[in-house]
Amino acid sequence: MNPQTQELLDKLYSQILTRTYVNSKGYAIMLSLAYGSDQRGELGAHKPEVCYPAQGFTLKKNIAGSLGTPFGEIPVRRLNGFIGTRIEPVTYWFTVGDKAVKSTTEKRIVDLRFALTGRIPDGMLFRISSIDENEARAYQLQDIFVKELLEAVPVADRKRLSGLDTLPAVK
Amino acid sequence: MFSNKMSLIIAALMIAASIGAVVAKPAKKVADEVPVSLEKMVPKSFGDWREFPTAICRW
Repeated sequence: MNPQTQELLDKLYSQILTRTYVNSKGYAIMLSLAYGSDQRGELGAHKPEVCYPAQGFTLKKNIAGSLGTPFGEIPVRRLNGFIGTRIEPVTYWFTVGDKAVKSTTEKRIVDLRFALTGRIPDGMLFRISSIDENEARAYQLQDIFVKELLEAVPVADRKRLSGLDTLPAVK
Repeated sequence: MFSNKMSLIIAALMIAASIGAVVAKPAKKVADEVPVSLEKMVPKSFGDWREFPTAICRW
């Protein structure tokens, strides 16, 4: 990573966690979490669609999506890009406070809600990717990864990670 | 006339002050209320997934 990127990350996020996970079939998913204790201001100065091309990736897809979990839907972005022969579909979302936000407008509303109570929201970038030429398979396994993670953590952490807490009411 | 204008000015100042009191209220970080540890928050093994020791991430 170049020094400017590192500097930007240090400024925006006070904690970063990167791990690689594999499932029983050997499929690997890379997880990157970046957490900041003060998320006022611009949404995602370190958006993956900015970060990836900065690192030499060619972005060929960038669309809004929705990731269904037993606890509700997460508004996500789906990216796909490549560097050389490496194709890497990405799924990511941002949280502000304990809500996943999909746009700058939505983020400003959450910011304002916090400002009125004199509180400064924290926030998180949750990003997963897999090196996979089969985009549909990559997203499918990334979705399973998220569902299984959210099922495994306590409610408070689930809320922080995804903005989702309890089971939705039965219709 | 003078008193009318004056009262308007005073009223405006009072409204500004009350807004200022809310806006300038010392802010508390949510992060200080419930500290977060990403390391602890995300289990190293869950569902069908376990951590793969050699990280191949970029950051």
